[in-house]
Amino acid sequence: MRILEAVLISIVLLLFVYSTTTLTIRTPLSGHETTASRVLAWLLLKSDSIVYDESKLVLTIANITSASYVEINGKRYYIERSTYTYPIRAIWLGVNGTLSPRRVEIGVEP
Amino acid sequence: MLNRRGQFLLLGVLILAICLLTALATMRTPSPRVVVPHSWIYSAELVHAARLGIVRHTRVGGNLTEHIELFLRELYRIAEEEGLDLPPTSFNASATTDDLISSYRVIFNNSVEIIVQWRLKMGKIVLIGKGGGAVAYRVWLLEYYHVYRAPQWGEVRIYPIIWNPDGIAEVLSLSNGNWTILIPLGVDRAILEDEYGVRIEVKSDGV
Repeated sequence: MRILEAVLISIVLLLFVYSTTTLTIRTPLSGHETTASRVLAWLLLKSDSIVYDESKLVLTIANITSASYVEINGKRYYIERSTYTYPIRAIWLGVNGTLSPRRVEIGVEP
Repeated sequence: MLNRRGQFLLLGVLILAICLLTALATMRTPSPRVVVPHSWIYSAELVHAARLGIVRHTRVGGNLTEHIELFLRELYRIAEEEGLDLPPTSFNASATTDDLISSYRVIFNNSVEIIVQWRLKMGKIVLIGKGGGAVAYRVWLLEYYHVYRAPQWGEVRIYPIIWNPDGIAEVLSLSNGNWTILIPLGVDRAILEDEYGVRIEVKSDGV
C-alpha cells in the first residue's frame, strides 16, 4: 500500500512539475509584439519604398505601434526610452525590381 | 509523518493544483518561443520578394522564376545573418497573357500566394481640346489589381496607383482598380507603371 502511495505521489509530482514548466515556457506573444509584427507585415505588403524614406517609416511606426525604437540598417531612432524591449525584424529587399536590402528592427516592450 | 488521511489529503491538494494549472494553460493560446512566432512577417516577406521578381520581369523580361529566386536567395541570406530562422520554401510562378488579360501568379508551398492581374478593354476615340485645337485620343479601360493571400490574413486586394512615366498618356482613376487611359492616336504604344514598378504596356492594337 505504501509503495502504491509513493508511486501515485511521484506521478502527481511529475505532472505538477511538467505543468508549471510548460506554463512558464509556453507564453503567448504580448499584444504589443503581435501588433508590431502585423504592422511590419502590412508595411511590407503595402510599400516597397517606405524604408528608403527613414523619417516617414519611423513616423508611421511611431503612430501605429507603441514601439520604443526603430532601427534601419543599424541606425537607431529612439521613440521612447524603455528598460526592456523585444526586437522584431523585417527585411526590405529592394524597390522597382532592383536589389537594395534594408534591415528594419522595431523594439517593443513585452 | 502524516497519517493515511493526511496523505490522501495532500494527494488531493496536489491533484487539485494540477487541474487548476492545466485549466489555466488551456485558456492561454500556446505559442512556444522556440518556433518563429512572426509568421505574418514571414508571409509578407515572401509576397514582397515575389512582387519584386514580377516587377523585374515586367521591366527586363527573362525568366520569371529566376528573378524571384534571386530575391528569395537574398532574403534567406540576410535572414541567416540576422539570426532569423525562416523555414525553407518552394514556389510555382506563371505569367500568362490571354487576349487583353495579363496575369502573374506565384504560389508558395505554404499557401502564400500573389496575383498581379490587369485587363485592358479598347474604347472609342475621343477628341480633347488642347492648345487651341483638338487632339484625338483612343480610350482604354484598364482594370488592375494585386491579390495577396496567406493563411495569416486570408486575402488582401490592393489597387495600386498607376501613372504614365513619359507623360504621353492621360491616366484617370475611376474606382476600385478601374482606370481610363487616353493614348493619342498615332502613338504605337504607351508604358504605364504602378507604384511598385510593375510595367504595363498598352499597344495601339492591344497588349
